Amino acid sequence: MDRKLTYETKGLNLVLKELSAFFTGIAKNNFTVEFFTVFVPIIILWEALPRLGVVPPTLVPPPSVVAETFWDLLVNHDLIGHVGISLLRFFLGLAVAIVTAIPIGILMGWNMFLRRHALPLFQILAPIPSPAWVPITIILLGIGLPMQVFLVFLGVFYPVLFDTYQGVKDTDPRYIASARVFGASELTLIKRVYLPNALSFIVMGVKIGIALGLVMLIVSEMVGAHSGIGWLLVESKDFFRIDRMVACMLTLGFIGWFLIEVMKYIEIKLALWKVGR
Amino acid sequence: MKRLCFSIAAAVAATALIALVAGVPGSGDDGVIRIGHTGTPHLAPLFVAVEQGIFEDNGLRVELKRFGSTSDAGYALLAGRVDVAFLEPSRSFRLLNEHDEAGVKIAGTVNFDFGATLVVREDLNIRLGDLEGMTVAAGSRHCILLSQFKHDAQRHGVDAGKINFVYTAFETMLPALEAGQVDAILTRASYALLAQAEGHKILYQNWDVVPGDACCPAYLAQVEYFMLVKDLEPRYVRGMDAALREASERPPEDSRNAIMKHTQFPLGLQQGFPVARYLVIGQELKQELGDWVWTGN
Repeated sequence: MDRKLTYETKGLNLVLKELSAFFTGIAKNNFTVEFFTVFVPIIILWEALPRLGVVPPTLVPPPSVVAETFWDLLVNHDLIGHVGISLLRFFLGLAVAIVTAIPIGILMGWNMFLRRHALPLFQILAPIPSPAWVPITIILLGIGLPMQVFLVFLGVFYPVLFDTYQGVKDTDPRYIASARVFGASELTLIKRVYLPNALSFIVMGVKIGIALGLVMLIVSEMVGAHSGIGWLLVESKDFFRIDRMVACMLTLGFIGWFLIEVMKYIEIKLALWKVGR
Repeated sequence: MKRLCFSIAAAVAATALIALVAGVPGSGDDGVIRIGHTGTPHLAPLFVAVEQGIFEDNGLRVELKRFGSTSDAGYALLAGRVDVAFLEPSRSFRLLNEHDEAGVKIAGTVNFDFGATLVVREDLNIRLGDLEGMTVAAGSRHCILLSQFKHDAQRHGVDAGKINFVYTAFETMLPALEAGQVDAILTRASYALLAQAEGHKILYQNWDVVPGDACCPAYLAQVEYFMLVKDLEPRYVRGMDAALREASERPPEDSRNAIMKHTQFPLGLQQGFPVARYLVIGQELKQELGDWVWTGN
């Protein structure tokens, strides 16, 4: 019993320690004097210009109004619920993309035969702007969760795929040769040489994928959804609520920024030797 | 010092950006009236007036600006990027409610005959009698269109009580039909025209239906679009009004040709439907809309 408690305490301490390190890192890296040097004047002007009547306040709602609207959305319009459903759609798409793109990328980087067969196809499909897939996706999957998840998947898949492929392909041949000298099998090579070498590339791909996935999430929620932050954005647009639109946009910006910070942290944990290279 | 420079640079950039976002060009300053529209076939008077030079005859130079949605046209009007915009009543009310101090006014209406119309999904090959057990979207339980349809269905031996009616706004019916959520929609003729263009089939139509009921009063029922103006000189508004009224008097064939030219909406699909016409705001509507109506002051 005592031992179990000790393990639990240790686990909790570890989680708290990691969380503390994560948030300290965010604060240290982002909220610097240099950041505030640029941020504060922008906020002051943004507040002052509409208030002084230099620009119409209904077209450019000042930050204080946006903050009030944000609170109203939070308390009266279930903003948390909308963000939650959006994140569910987003993480499903992200997960499917990561689970498929990384193995395919590794296989393409590792094996010339597979590369020659698969790479041209992906290179043709990748430049198609993801929003162009919307009508075909609706035809194939209808309107609903599968369509939304697929569109997010499309946004994330190609950056992760190509970055993984590049990371594996660019593995230093000396590492491969050394591993082979020590009798490493192909599977060991993938696990111990290619994958660790490609980790920072993969994280970079996921970071780009997160940004593109968020774009696709909004696109997907603009079509036939009745919930989610993208729907709330369109609804606000239809009701000429610019303050709500800005609040939704800033919420989206915050989500994207936070996810990128999480990825940065994961990168430090997984591929420490690559960070800052 | 370096930080101060950065702060000043950020402030200048922010000012420029905010000014750019809210930049309001002088409306009609160059003598050209910019008109925002969505290219719908329900704006026949506008297209006829352009095609037949009626605006020029009334001393106006106009430039049509097409938008993807009426809300986009509304934002362009608010920002002063267009001087006139055509918006549906519901969207016009939202805009006027939220931005009542922006100086936007309703200067006229574009009307379309009411007409109770039942449109069935394109993949269904059915007759009126087969509707029993199917899902049909209607405006509301007490909608005049529904009452008329039930009355007519009974005359044709159809038990409307066995039809599963669901109630939704007119503007959401066509998307619901497209998505297969309903088998048919009981809608106004203006929406039926658009539904037909998407390949759906008209199964029933009654032009004798008298518009107006508790949820949609008669003076508003046939209004498809409001003509909204902002900061436009009275002589231009009067010119627009005169030109659009004149265009509404032209033969329907002229309207249909103008619609086809401006919207690519096939002539064949327009046959059997009346064309929209521009009207000045009636006394009853004026009373209802109050300060939102353009008065020339």
